[in-house]
Amino acid sequence: MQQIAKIKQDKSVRPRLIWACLCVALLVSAIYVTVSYRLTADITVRSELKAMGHITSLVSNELSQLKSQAIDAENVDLILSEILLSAVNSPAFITVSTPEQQWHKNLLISSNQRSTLLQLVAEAEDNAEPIELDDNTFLWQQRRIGQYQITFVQQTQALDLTLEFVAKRLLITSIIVFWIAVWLALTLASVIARRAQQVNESLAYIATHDSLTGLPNRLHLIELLENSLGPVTDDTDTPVDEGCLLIVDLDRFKEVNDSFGYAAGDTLLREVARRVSGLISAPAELIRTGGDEFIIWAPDYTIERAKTLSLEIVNSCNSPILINGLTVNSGASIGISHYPSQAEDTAGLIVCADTAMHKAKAMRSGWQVYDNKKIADYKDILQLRAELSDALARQQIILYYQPKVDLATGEITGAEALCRWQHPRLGLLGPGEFIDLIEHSGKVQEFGRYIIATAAAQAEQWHSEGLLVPIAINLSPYNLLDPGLADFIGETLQRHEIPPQFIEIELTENETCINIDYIQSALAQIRKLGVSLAIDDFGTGMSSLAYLSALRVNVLKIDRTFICDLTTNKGHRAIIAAAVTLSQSFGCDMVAEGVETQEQARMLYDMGCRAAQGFLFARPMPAEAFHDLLTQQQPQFSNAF
Amino acid sequence: MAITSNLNPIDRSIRGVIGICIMAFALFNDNLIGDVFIEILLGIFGLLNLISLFSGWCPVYQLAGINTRKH
Repeated sequence: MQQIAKIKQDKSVRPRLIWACLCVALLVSAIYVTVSYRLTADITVRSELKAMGHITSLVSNELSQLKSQAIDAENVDLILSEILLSAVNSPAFITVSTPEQQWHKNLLISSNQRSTLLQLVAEAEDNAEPIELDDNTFLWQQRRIGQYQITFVQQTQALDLTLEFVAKRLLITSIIVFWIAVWLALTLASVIARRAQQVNESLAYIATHDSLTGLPNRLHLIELLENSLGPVTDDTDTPVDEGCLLIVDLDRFKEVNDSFGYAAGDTLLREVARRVSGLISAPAELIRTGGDEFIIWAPDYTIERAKTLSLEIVNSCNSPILINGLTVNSGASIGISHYPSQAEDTAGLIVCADTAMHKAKAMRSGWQVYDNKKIADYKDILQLRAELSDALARQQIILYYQPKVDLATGEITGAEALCRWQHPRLGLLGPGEFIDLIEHSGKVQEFGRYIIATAAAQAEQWHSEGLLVPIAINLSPYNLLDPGLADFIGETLQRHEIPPQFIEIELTENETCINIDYIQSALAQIRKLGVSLAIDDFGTGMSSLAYLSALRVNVLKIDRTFICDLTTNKGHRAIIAAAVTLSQSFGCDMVAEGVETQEQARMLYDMGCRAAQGFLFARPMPAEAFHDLLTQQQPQFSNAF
Repeated sequence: MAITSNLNPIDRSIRGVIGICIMAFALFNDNLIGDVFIEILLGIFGLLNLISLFSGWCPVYQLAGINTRKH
């Protein structure tokens, strides 16, 4: 956006153009004056030479009329004097020479000068160039008739006259020309500069506005926020004391696009843009940031005012829009963030509002204000995300183990590996604080492999000590999208020399959008290795009955929500009973999660559930503690109930 | 374009002086200049400057979008 500001502020074109035009004008004037002067001087010299040519002709005519015996100094002198005195009015001399004799006639010129000039004439190549002597300029003509050579040299005033005569007019004319040129320069420069300004403005407009709705775009928003937030740094800043940023996201834009086509989607966007624009007034601005997302920057808005505005926008988006003869209502979810109480910079405001918007969408509540208390500071999240890659490399992610207990005997039948982040700054973090980050960081597959390798190493260690406890590893379906996962598990098992039954894969799942066919084939490959499979959190998420039949798992782990109020909730009891029956019919084991009281354990046992895990038996613990637990005298939990 | 004053008083008076000098030169120095054409050109030049003096308005400034009055 800095570049756009530059485009707008670039005013240097105009003075440069004016200077360029003035320089050109000066140059043209100078060339014009020089050429005119030289031209005039040239013409004058030529006409004078022509006149001198006539005089030499006259002399030669007169000489040729003299009889040969009459050629003596007196006669020649007479002729020369007559001609010089009658036709010449400036210092000059004529020399007539024959091989034997030489006659001179001077007019206002000394003999010394004459002899020097004669010498110069003898050296000169032609008579077009005047001869300079003692600050005087001389022109010469030479003519040969028979035995006579006539040389006529005359001091010329031509150049001085020209200078005097022409310079005056030239000077005045060139001043006028220069003046016209200045006019032209100013006008041209301003016309060009104005055009350039228009082009710049339209470029800046195109760069900062959305072509579909005509609203400003993200670039404009960022420039606007940079200018509005924080302390004043330059003259374009217009700081505000407070303000709200609203992110408006249409709920059903994709559906409209998919069912009615892009043209309909465009109509919808335009209509929504028009409606929302009608609801806000300057200085608040509506910006389309892309797709079906709009941002409103409302300076000087309190959160209460922003809430009122959000309500109006949601209502407006919920009222039907006519597209292709059908009424559609797009619906909208709005996230609100407040400056400066929630974030003090552009990125912060947008992230906060975005978080709130997603929450509003999830809660179908129309709008939400960003809540500092419930959502960790986005800066922490960003930092954690940055530290995550380091965490894997430095093995800061460790595994805790929670025992699975046989309800009949109280013996430990297995362990569930649960990840913890031993964070150098924040201490031990539970999976809830970083699993989401991993799933959205693109490191989910790397993370899955890391967990498998760590658990396998642990299993090997215990195995070598004779502790035969299978370890269950939680994997999300994102991990199963890793095409080399089955091979990796196979290799890991081989490298650590663990029998496959000592590793169990638990599928955790909350989102159902993953391709079930792909997961099924991935699971089939893992099952082929001999690794047993479990569905975690059964009864919620992806564990629909159809999946249960398709995935053919070995263990069902019924979700803790059904266990916690088992004693009071009849419905949950019925579900557990059904799940037990289901597991028996599928021939798989069932494990109850989150068992906290002896009463729950007893009821589960009575219902036919044979295995359980939960705080009643033990919390997740580090590997060493678990090792100690395993080496205790068995059965470890015989007095559980 | 409307004729509104766009000349700073200093600008205006400099133009006035130039205009008067040039008009005087053009009118009373025929033999010095010796060319009617140049006299006419000078006359126009001087006249335009005098117009600027009286109206405080310069057509070229107007075209070029310059205004010295503000500053």
